Amino acid sequence: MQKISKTKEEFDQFFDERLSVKIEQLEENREAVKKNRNKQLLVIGLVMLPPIVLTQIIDQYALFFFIIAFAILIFGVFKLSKTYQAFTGVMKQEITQEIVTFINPDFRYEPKEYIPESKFIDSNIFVKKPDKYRGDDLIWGYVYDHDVSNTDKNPELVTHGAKKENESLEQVQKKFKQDNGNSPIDETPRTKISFSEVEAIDVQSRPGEGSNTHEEAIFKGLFFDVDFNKDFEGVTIILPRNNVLFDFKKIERTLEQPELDEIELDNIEFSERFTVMTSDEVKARYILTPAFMNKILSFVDITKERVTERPQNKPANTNSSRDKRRESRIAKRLIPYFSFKEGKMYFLLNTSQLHFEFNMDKKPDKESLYYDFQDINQSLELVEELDLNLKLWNKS
Amino acid sequence: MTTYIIIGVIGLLLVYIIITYNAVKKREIKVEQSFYNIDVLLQNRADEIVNLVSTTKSAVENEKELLEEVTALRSKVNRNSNKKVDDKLEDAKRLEGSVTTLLGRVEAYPDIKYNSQYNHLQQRISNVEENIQAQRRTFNARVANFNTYIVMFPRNIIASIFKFNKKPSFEVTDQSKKENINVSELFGK
Repeated sequence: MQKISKTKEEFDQFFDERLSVKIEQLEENREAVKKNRNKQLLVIGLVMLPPIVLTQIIDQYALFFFIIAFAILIFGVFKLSKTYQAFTGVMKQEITQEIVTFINPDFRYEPKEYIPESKFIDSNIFVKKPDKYRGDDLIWGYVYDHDVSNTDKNPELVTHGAKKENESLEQVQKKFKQDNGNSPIDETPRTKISFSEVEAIDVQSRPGEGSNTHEEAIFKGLFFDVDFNKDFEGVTIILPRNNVLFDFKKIERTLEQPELDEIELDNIEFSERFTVMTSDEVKARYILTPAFMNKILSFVDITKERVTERPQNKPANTNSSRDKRRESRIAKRLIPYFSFKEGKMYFLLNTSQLHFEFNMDKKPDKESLYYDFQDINQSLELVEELDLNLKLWNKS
Repeated sequence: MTTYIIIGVIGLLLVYIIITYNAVKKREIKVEQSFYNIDVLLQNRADEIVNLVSTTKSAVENEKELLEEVTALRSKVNRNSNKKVDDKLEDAKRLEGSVTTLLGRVEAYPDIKYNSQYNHLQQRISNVEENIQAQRRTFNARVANFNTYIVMFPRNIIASIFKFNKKPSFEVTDQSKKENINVSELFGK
């Protein structure tokens, strides 16, 4: 089988030959934006200073001056966030887009778009509908079956949907929306993938505190929506097993989703680590063959290891008990979920952190961009490791 | 007072027996359902094989003996409706072996290799095969659930009174261990 994902060596070469040049070109822009940001900070500070001082001097108007200082602060934060957005917008279009195209020329990138909430709800993984839902960095496209015999037979069909040079952003967005509704008829065996960063939030009101509310993230991480290589009906979800005496989430799920029953599968390790809920146990076993369960286990292990190895997740001193506790907390936060519904596979990786972001104070380096590369490359590894592009007999 | 206690105890015992009997029966029916589903799938596979044989017949005339063997085995699968599922599986396994050999030999005939009808039939057989595997695993899970349920005390007493016996599960043979028929191999891709 042809390898579709990229290796670290390939990334290193790509960085040295192309990305580093691009970063150098953008460096002047980053420095200018940074100076502008620093200027803004100074101006905000200077403008805020008189009202703050006046609150201390003129007691009777203290509240008035405090409100003025607060208004300046709000305005300043707004201006700073606009500056940061403009900076990241440019960096994403220039750098992330370049990485996306390098990984797969058939991928398209929309920094401001994300997987819609309807798909999040459709995955059936979370019982509660989120009160707030947001995201960014949508990457979508196709992985084609580049099988030699196939391309020999249909050479004209292996024309991929990569973003054309002259295609505008609006045209691309329109195409994405169209494709989401009605996929164009194309005989080439292919797997559609879309993924983005997503955050789903539950707003809870505190009892006895009036209108006081607090937000709790139900999910924060990467959401993958991939064509599955078999046609099937019904829903099957895979959740990490929660080994507690009273699993209230399970009770809540039983009440909210009575159509889903928990089943035991014949892979002991898989059953120890995951809970499988399904609307049809035969279909669940049709999807989760013994080989596929092993592939999921191995894919999850590799993904978890990769994310926990990142500097922001890895404590400096792993010998101290505090750092070990932190490491364990991070590992716990990193939760993989799978959902299979009507021929689609959803993979949700709760990382509890931001992805594809740029630091204004630091020149993007190989290491930081390698993590972005890993996050995108992961989508191809998902297809590759789980053999999702092998649609030889089950999928029309 | 004692009479009431005895009646109460007997009543509770009867309720327990009824609940247990129904629970065992429910599990037994689930096992039987899986049995029938496997049977239907085996029959489907046999039917698809007949189509496959008729599609390849004209193109692979030199494999007459093999084609006859496949047809004979297929008829056996079709006729043996009174046999136990274990025996049916055994026949189906032999039929599968012959079909795999046939498909291997088909490789030598380029005309049929790129025949879309033939490829389509191949896909359908493989799909049925995967469904059989899923159904077989479901059957085994249900059998395990039934067997565990009836050996637990005091249910084992009720199970023996009503003659509920442990059921055999399908042994995983080398053939059934196979996840898919490797079409790439078969077609030399």
